[in-house]
Amino acid sequence: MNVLLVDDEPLARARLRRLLQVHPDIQVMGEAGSAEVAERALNDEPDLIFLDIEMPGESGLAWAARLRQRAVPPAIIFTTAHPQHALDAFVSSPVDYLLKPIEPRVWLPPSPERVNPPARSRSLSLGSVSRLDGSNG
Amino acid sequence: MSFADLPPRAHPHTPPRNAALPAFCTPRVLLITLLLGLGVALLLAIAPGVAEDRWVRLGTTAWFVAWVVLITTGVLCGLQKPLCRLSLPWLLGGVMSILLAATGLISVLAYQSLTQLGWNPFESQTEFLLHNQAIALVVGGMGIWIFSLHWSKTRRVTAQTKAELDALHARIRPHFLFNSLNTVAALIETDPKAAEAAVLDLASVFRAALHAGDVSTLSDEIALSQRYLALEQWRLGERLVVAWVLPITPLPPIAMPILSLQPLMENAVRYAAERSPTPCTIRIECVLGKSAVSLLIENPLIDAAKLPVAGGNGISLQNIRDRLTLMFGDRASLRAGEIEGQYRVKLVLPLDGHGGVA
Repeated sequence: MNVLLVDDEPLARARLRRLLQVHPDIQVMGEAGSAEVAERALNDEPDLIFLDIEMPGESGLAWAARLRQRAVPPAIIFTTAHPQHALDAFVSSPVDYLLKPIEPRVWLPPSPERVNPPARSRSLSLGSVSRLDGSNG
Repeated sequence: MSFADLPPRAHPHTPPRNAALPAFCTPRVLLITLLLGLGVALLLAIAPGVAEDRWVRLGTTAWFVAWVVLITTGVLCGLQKPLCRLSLPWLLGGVMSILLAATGLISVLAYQSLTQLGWNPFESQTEFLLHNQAIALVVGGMGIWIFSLHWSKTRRVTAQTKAELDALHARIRPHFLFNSLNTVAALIETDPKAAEAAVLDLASVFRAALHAGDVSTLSDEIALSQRYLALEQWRLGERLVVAWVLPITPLPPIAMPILSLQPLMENAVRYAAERSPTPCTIRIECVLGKSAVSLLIENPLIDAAKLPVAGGNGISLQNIRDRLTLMFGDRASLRAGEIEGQYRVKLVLPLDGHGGVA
């Protein structure tokens, strides 16, 4: 699975990249510091985008809403320090909404074979959730 | 254009410029003022050297004082709004004039009616009037003096409490707190030493927020600003460029309110660096003059259309200004404005004094 990391903070991208390393299915294909730069990376057709919300220029929410218009929109996981954007984020049907600092055990890349597992109780989970611990692979 | 320093219309909750006058329209204040007036009447009645019966004197004096108090309070209540727009010296003068006018009016009325009722005064109406005016001047002066002491203390406590709350609020703003913690989490693996430094920077910024009422020094404030900017530097990477221009000579030991410099950096970070996709330079210059120290903070104007909503989450320039005034009177100043595409804040502190706060 090709993943694109979009966050204006370089260390936040670095941490995400490190957290993703344990997941063998995932290849981080690129990073972007703003929606504008990320737009260009879309040509490489990422399957999943980790997207920050508050960024210079276009916000993650606005960009995600535009991504929905594409023929094959990539899956989106929002990563933000702001719980209050969750409702607005819902509009662009993200796979998940992760609060920074991101806990390695909680976030999850959605693997294709586990779409719609039984909902686990997580207050901010907006989509299907699987977990790294135990059953990844 | 300025952030955190918008004109008053942008702050619907800003109290009138001079909220020094207590609410004279409340029954509580009226009762307290009446009781104080009756205390004065009691003093006048028990003062030695009074020829007439003390109970009679207490009665007439109390009656007299009660009317003066009622009229003065009534007029102050009615004129509360226009009075509050005056500066403090004019306000005090105005209150005193109202008291003297009320005393004069009641004196004349009392003299006329009492002499018609058969009272045999020892003095002419003019003397009676002047004596009463003198008493009103002394008692009113003492009242005003005590009140202004009380008021300046209240104002200081209010400004400090507000600064403290604002500072804490800005610190627990998710954008700052959780992003900073995320930074630390990112650094722990790659650069544990840097992670440690970042945690210590975070601690010092929080510590300052918890003591926003305290007095700091110029060098401590600069150190705090540097630690704050170091923290933001980790977060924003190359997008934040900080240029310090500090004098070569050691900084003078000037006392200043804590958190009067760091919030200016925070504004620059929030409204310029965070919004800029390209490197954004925040320039801080400290200039030592003969009688004053100037601190200039400059940042480019970014995305002017997305101006912050009034007040924001930070400490507003007005609050910093209030605390500077409490400490230095009008010898310190804080100005902000737009010059050639740059937003510039200038903070001037006097060199001669260590402020009014011990």
